[in-house]
Amino acid sequence: MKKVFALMLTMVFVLSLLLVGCGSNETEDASGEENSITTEQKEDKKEEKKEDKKEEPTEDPNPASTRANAADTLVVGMPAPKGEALPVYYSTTYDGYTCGIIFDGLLSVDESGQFIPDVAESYELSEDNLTYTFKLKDNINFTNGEPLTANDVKFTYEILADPSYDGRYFSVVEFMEGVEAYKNGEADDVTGIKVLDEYTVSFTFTEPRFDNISNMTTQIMPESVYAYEYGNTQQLRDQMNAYEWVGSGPYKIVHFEPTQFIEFERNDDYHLGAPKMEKLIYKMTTVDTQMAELEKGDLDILLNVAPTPENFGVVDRLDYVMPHTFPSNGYGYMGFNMRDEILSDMKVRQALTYAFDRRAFVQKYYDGHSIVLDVPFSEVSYANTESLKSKVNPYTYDKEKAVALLEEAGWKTGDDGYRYKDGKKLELKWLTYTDSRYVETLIPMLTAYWKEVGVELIAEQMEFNTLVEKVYLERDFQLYNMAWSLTNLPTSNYTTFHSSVDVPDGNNSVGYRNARNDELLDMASTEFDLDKQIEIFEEWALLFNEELPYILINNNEELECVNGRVENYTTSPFVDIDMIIHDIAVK
Amino acid sequence: MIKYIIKRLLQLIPVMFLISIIIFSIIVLTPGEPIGANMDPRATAEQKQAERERLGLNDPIHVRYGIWITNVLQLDFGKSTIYNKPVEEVIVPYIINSLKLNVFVFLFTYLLAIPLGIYVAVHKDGLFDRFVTVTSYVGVSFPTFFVGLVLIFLFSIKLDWTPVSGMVTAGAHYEGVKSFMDVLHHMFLPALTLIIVSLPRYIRYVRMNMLNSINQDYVRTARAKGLSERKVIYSHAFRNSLISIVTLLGFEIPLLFSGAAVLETVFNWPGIGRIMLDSVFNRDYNLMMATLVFFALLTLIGNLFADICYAVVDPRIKVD
Repeated sequence: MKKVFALMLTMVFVLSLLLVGCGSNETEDASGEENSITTEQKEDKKEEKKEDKKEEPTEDPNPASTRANAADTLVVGMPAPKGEALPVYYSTTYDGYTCGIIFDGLLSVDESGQFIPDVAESYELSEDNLTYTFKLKDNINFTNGEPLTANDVKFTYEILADPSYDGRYFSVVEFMEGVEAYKNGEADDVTGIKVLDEYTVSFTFTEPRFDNISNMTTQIMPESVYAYEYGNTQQLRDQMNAYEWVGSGPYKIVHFEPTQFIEFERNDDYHLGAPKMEKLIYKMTTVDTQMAELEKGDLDILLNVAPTPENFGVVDRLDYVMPHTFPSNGYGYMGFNMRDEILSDMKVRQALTYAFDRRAFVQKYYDGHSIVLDVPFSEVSYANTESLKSKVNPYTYDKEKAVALLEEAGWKTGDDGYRYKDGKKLELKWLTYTDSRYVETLIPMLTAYWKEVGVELIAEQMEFNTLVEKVYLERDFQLYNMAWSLTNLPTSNYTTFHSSVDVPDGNNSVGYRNARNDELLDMASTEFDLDKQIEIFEEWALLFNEELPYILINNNEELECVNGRVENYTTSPFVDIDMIIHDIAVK
Repeated sequence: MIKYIIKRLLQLIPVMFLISIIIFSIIVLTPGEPIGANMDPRATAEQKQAERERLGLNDPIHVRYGIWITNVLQLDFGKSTIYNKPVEEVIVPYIINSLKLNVFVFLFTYLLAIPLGIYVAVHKDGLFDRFVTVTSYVGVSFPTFFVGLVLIFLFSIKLDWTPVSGMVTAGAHYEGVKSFMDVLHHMFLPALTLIIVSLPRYIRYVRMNMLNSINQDYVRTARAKGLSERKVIYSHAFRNSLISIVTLLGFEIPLLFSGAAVLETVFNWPGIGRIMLDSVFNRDYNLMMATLVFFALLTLIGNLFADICYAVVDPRIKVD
């Protein structure tokens, strides 16, 4: 279900996590919270030690192997989930990881971002592209002993259509046939969800959209455990808050201790084979002390580590900890308000992009652990093809070009070195957030680069929540910066850049409106032929690349730290830990 | 005395009422809103609007306050938007956890600060006095979390005596005495950090007040009439500096719950300070109101407590 997040607004909370503790952060990080354990780095010894490691891996004792429960228990460190581990209610990534190992969905996602059957044995799409029919595996049992059948599937999806449902995932069923009638109490069932036999179920959508299938990953809950009265989903919440979740996944819950840990025990009957580790603990960590716990051997795996030079430094210093990195599925950007008098001019937007050396920024902040992005797809997206990369304008830093474009746009240099047009100074106000080292690196650099070409930039920092309100609700800004985390499908760009979402609260806060943009996004979202869809996206990305509603800054790298004793650790941009947990073993 | 306490308690009511209006206004007028975290990232503008309507965010501020205060008077603090649970269910366990840590620190700090403060006042400019002066400046200038990190490095990593963070051992299922010892073991580092950071400050405070009294004429008189030094210090000087120590005690009561917010985050101690920070960052109005009003109430009660103690320690103060 994690994968249904359409272009999720990423809270680039960064350093603020230092204070917040991040217990409830609905969306994760992005550009790297700072870690304070830098005082202990021994830079000089790093290199030698690294080399020793290759030759004599046993030289330094691994504290994780001598932990009391080392043999049968895997400990995974992560920020605290809230304990909302029901597939229809979870809102943080970490609750998502808990859902993911307790429940299974019809479909899952493989490392290339393609949907693969999980609870489903196979599925097919009807001729009119409206109906998906799933054949379920007939040997799956929930951990209470009841079989997982088509009725449970229907039950789970109908929760989302219940009139009292107050979770986050109504959009999963929003475009299914008969949802409105069910919600209004006019029908006893959602007509679009049909149980054909005990192990066959079909879903009919009202529109043939390519990303309908991304709604088919919602994990299945047993009706035998979670049955509730129509119109009273509060009963589900109450049950969830008892922390005794029952599903069909690789692990069973043993104990949930809020803000401290979650303990699991393996489900020997898991349909993909019994997990290799008998016990599993999710241990809650904070950014301040996570590296210390890793060093002490309290953790086998640490998730969500900021890819900063400091953290890489700690990992390099420890012989028994390996970095596990991959490009994240998301990007950091700066948005131009295209309704603004100055910024509505494409030449100005291009000039500002040319005038900012993004590569220098990424090198400075990430020390090479990130890449500059030129199209609004993550590096790992199937739409980000070689062909597209060869055609795109990389806006390499070019002061002359920037100056020329500004001159063309009518902005002439005044006596004070800044540019003026009709007596008005070229002065831009940039709204950004506080407590972030990312922002604190960006502000002086960007201000200096743009001053070079006669643009005065005034950065105004505010708390993240305030920024969200200004940008999305009031849309009162010239420039702002944030980050998006993406889904596995490029079609989610529809919900960010289509003119229909250029409304207060809509994702298109920059007010990007262009007839061809709408046309291409409409076409792509109903194109089921992947090659054709990629072609459409290529044209769309090139249009974006010219129009520049955003300056795209960078595609982050994800850093996870893994103790050397852990085997088969294969997370990747689309594959989270909960999807491979049953395979993980220790030496 | 009882009459006095009742009178003071009655006075709390209008004060609390005013405080709640002020807190409520500040909270509601701050930009940002509680929806978002619990909304579908794909939610449309209409859906967001409907959610605001449901949470009553569109009502004028006096209407919202009216609803809130009416509910509170019926002991309904509303639902937390972060946790989707009634506020009291959310905060009570965290308050207890904060108490565990802070009562321990509080007792320890006072028990150490008073004798040490007297000692350094009596031995003014001695070696230990200078040591305390220097460490208190160092202590004040180091942020608490930094001291915490240094102690983790020392005690958890190098010496391997204590756990790094948390309140209980993950997956250990201790019961009874073992469970109690486990919590103590986890409490050691955060408590030590807090004591290290605050103890020198308290000692200096006690010392200052002791010096004040020692230099008074009545102390000189006491000495002149030949009382033992012990009696001079404890019955005359210390007794008179108790008033200010009691004042400090009154002020510190709210800190029992909120004082360690940053440290609770560093050590992943599940206390109320952290919940309060979370509620502010997520604009969880009900949770914020409940915690802030709770702290305001504690401050007032702390003051009342100090006032009552004045009467106990100083017979010149009449409460009636």
